[in-house]
Amino acid sequence: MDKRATAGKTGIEQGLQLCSICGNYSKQIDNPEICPVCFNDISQRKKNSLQKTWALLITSVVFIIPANLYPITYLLKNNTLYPDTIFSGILSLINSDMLGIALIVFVASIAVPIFKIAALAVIALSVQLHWNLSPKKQLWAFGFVDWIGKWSILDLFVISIMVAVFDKGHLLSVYPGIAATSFTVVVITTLFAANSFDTRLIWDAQTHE
Amino acid sequence: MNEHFSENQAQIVKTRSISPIWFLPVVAAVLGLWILFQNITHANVQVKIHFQKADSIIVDKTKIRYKGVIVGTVKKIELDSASGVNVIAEIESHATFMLREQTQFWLVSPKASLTSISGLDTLFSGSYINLEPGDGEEATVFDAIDEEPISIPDNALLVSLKSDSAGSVSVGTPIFFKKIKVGEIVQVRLDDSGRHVNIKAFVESDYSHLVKSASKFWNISGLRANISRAGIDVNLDSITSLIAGGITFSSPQKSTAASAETQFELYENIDKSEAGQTIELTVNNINNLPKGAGILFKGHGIGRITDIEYSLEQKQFIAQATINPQFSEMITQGAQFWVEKTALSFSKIKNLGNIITGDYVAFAPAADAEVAQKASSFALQQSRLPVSPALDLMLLTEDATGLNAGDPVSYQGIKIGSIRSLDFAENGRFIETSISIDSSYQYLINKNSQFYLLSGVNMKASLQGIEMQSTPLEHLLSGGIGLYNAEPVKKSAKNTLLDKNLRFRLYPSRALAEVGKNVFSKPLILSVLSKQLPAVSEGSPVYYHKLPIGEVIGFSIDNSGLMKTELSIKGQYRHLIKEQSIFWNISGFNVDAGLGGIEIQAESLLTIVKGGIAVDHGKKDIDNKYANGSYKLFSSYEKAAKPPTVITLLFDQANELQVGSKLRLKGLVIGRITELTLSSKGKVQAKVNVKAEFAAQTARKGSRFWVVSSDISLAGAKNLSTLVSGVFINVEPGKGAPATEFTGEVKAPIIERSKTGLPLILLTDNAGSTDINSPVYHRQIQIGEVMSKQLSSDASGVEIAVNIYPEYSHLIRENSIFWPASGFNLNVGITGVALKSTSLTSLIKGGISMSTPDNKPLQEMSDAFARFELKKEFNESWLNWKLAIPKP
Repeated sequence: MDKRATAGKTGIEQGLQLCSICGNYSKQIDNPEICPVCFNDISQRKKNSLQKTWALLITSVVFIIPANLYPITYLLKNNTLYPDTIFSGILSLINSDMLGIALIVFVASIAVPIFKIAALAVIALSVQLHWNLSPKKQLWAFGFVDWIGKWSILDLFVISIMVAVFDKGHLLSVYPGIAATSFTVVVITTLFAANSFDTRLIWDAQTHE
Repeated sequence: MNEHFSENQAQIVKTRSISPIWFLPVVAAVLGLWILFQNITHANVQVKIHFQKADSIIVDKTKIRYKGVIVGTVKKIELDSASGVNVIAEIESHATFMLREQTQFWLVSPKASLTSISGLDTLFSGSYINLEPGDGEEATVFDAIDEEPISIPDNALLVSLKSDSAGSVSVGTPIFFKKIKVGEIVQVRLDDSGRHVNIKAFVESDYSHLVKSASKFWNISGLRANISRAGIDVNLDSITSLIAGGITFSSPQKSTAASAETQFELYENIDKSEAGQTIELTVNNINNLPKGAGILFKGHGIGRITDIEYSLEQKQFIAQATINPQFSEMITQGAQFWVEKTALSFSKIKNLGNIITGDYVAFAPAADAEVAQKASSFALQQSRLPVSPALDLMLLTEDATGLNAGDPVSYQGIKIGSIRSLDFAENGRFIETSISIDSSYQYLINKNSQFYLLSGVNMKASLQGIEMQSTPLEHLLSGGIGLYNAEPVKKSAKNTLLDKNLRFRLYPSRALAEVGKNVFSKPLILSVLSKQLPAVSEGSPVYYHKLPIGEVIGFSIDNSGLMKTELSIKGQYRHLIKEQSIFWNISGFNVDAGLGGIEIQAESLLTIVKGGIAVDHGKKDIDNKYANGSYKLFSSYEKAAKPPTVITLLFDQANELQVGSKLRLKGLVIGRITELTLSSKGKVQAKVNVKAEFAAQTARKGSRFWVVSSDISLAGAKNLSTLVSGVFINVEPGKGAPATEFTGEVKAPIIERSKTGLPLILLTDNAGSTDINSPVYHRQIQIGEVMSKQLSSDASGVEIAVNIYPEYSHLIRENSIFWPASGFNLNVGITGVALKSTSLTSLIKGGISMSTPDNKPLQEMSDAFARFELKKEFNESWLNWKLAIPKP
């Protein structure tokens, strides 16, 4: 079975498909559904990749609004509840002369999610609408999004740790707000959005041109 | 192969499938839309609240709360153009319905009081703005109020209390019913007039039915302690009420439930809350009578003065008083009310507590309270009126020193009445003392009754000490009036109705009262004569039994050259001066210093300083006047009243006698030598003044006088004291007829009666070493002594008279043997020299020993003046006799 792949051509053009499990590629004709090596399901492209990406992206876009407008934490200090949004938290950090931490929080909590959504949206749009953007740049951007995406979880870690640690009843307690849930949803949906996007579509869109 | 495969290759048709992942954004969109909808429909409302100042209000921190729920947050503070600050706050959408025109906002800051700490949370969380919703149109601009408005729990009953003073009632003070907290004071305010305190309180809805229209509210604040002799009764309702006060109320069963806003009176304590009969007391001077003063009946509180007001019309104070219902029966006509004041005098401290608490009103019911008409208006007396029908008497006195209204009138120590008042008499000469005698003692008063001042102390100070005589301490310090009846009054005596205008005199002392009315008559002027002026001066007192009855008013020289002292005797004492009166000088003090010691005599301290003259009744035979009829002024009482008997003693030699030497009888000084002269016969003549009371006994024939002087001999020293005090004359009274001239002896007579015992005569050849006073021994114990020795009538021997002391006289039996014990027995032999002596005394003084043989039965006791032979030789065997001689 000739399964030599040719450089410069997509797998589809060559009738090849890659098993995402075992990494073996095979002729699509030979085994249209199943990987001949590991017998897992196999396909030439991820199914509904773009659709999934869009759906998750839209979800995250919806949730990023309350994540930023609603309080992410409630600080119960001396029987009084002090809600903090992400942005008010950053402001109070700046007020407390902790610019470095404010910057980290700003990047991790505001800049990165928005950048992720924006970057994924541009890539997805570019694939959808055949914008003929540079595939390499798109790939680089995707790689960056994929890499940095998991760091957004850090915020949630901090919140969950604070909630666990600052539990002194009426004196001092921290409760997660609605924005925390929203933010989690944003992080997870963007992660999944990135994960469900098949980067090869960038090339597919390119070749169609 | 490829072709073949191509031909047979299945046509791949791309199906436009929709991934189920789309469900996610749909849900998200729905959620987002819903949140958006919520945000739009429940938008926060901005309100503007005007505060005077924005202390402790912090933007974004200060919350707005309603019933503890956060309903908003301060978002902005801006200065108001006029005054104060405007606080812009966002009220959360769910609370916007409360934003009405009447809605109130006020700032809550931490407040700590004893009962409660409110807003403590604000200590940490900061102050907050409280919201109390009200009615009216919707509004967004408000004026904050300064103080928290009354907020009562839902359905709680709001009651209004009126009180004279806030006492310990303050906001938050609990209201108890049966010691269960049922409510709270929410507001304490002065009313508009400023005379009362309006208190608003709520009673929780669960208990609001307990408040009846007839309920009484009273204060149970603090601690009530009733300290009496019975013990200490401490009444404490609760610790809370101790600290913060408290209010409780009664809930009469019969009464109807109270409506809201019923006005109640808040009583100071439970006593005051008790309803009772209200009476009116009119009084001129309120003095220390406080509002709320108790009305006591025999010490038991029966009511209280509730209000005191001045009536312009009646020009006096009108005190409203409430009497406890159970005592209202006694409030009848004739009942008495009087003010019990603090009496702080030396004799008693009465109602001392009134100083702090104010006076109280005492009450006494009418005697016929059962039948008397009810009354509600009384005059408040300043002191208790005597229980009718007390006898009122008026006493006149010139000096009311020490008398106070209320002081007792007593008769023989029993209080029979009291002084009602003291005032000047019309003519201004006297002081009218109005006294009232209790009805039960009125029989004691008759026309002859006399009253005297009980005040004062009778003090006698002399060098011997200070003697103080006084009436009971009460009288001593505060005085009083005593009643004197010359004749005892029988209890059955009829109360003779006395003339209302009868005035009694108040005598300065009981003695004067006894004397009678002459007290107030004119003084008696008389003069006494003396050879020398007495050491008195004008004003020196004249004493009668130490009672000053007059004074010296002047001196002059009589025609006869005698010094004349004029005396003025007070009228009331003039009867004391009689024909037989004797006057003597008691001025200064009499110092009699001699070898016998120093003797000081003084009548009184006053007489030492001022001198004085004493007067007393003398006996008829005393020559108390000079020829011209004037009284003699004696130099001493002794000279005046008891002139000593002068006796003359003749001595061969004066020895050591001198003027002043004493005459003693059995050691008692009964006289003194006043003069020593030589008689014409060449004898020493001593005139001795014998005290009157001893003269009869000693100035008799047969009395023997002898000089006692110190006698020092080998045998001993006698009367050594005379070495210092000088010799004296001893007297042995005789029994003959009275006489004044005696022959004195230089030595004591042989037989002193004091040692009379059994006289015996011993016969011997010569006197040997036996001497007068030599002892007689039995078993070396002296049982007698030699009295004298003399030659027998025919000079054939010597008779020695011995006297056996009475206690030993029974030892002398008819067969007793006497031998000389004197001297010593010297036996010189080969073996040596033996010296025998009975005793050292006998060795020196000589003596006689006796014994009785034991080989014969006990013989009869010897007779007086029996004769015994004094053995010449001594037999040693005599010493071995051991005859038992019982005492008779």
